[in-house]
Amino acid sequence: MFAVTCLAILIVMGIALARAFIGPTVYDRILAVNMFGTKTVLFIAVYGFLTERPEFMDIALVYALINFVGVIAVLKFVERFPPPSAQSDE
Amino acid sequence: MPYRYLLIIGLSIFWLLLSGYWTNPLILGLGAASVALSTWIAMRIEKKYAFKDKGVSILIRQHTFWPWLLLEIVKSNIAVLKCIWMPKTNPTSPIIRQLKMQPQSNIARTLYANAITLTPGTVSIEVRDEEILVYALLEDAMKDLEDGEMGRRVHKLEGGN
Amino acid sequence: MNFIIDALSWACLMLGCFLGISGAIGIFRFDEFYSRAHAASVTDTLCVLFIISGLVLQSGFNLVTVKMIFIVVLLWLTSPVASHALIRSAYQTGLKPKLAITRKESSKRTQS
Repeated sequence: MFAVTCLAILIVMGIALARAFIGPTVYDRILAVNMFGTKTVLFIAVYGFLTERPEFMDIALVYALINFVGVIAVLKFVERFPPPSAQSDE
Repeated sequence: MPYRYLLIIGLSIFWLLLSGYWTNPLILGLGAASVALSTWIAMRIEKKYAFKDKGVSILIRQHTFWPWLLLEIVKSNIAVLKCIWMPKTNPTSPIIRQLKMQPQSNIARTLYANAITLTPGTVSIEVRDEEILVYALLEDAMKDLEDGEMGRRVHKLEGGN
Repeated sequence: MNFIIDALSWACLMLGCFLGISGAIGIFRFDEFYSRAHAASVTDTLCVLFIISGLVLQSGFNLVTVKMIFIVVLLWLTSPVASHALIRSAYQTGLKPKLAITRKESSKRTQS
């Protein structure tokens, strides 16, 4: 049953990655990457149960924090230096 | 100042539960050092953005707020899911509105804005002194916010009525 | 007893998967950025809760359970902050949302 959950989370991650590729604005991409990171945390947790290695939970915890800090850092950067595509399209 | 001791106790419990080594003196020492460092950094932030005013009163009343918020999250999740799977019968009606905030202290306002963002269907865009700019996917969600149930509950947390 | 717990955690995991996939569909189907943020917040809240509670039911109660509860708490504290920061900076750089209803007061106030 963990394998099925892993597969479903991988599908979600794939769709989020596709949204990150097609854009159209830079904020869509950041949103998709943020969602990808949240799903990665879940994936690590479920994978730890699949292979019966509960130490994976620590990695998931650290990944949750790194994901948050990373998204905020990228946002700060984009806010200070907005890319030309941010205003024009949509 | 109770805020500092609360922070120290909370961080120590966090460290002990995460590490799982409760007898090794080296790891306990490292834990004490990191708790001291984190508290010092938090105190430096505290000087600029004062959060301490109602913190304790909000912390001890959390149990009245979270079950209600969880129910609210489930309800709004179902509403957004309907929009995703049946876009024909449930069209979205995006709306932006400026609302007045009932909570008075900084920390209660932060809690209120975060609770709005945490429930799917509503997102807080900007928080100014008394007012909050909210974007809602559905008009019903905005009506619920305008009724002010959530604001009242957060206001109760900080000791208002 | 074991069977009931297994069934319960199976149901939780499947519900979490369903919510995650519908969030992903939503992120694809909605046509503008602000609506997509709502679809993403569906997966950020209940999907996380259901999948982790399915895992908690499987593991019983020990230190690993505590760590998983910390994961839920951290994700629930950080994800609204992240999406608020995202939407605020999108709004301030001038990405205009498509609104269904443009009332006088709301349109006037949002410009100021």
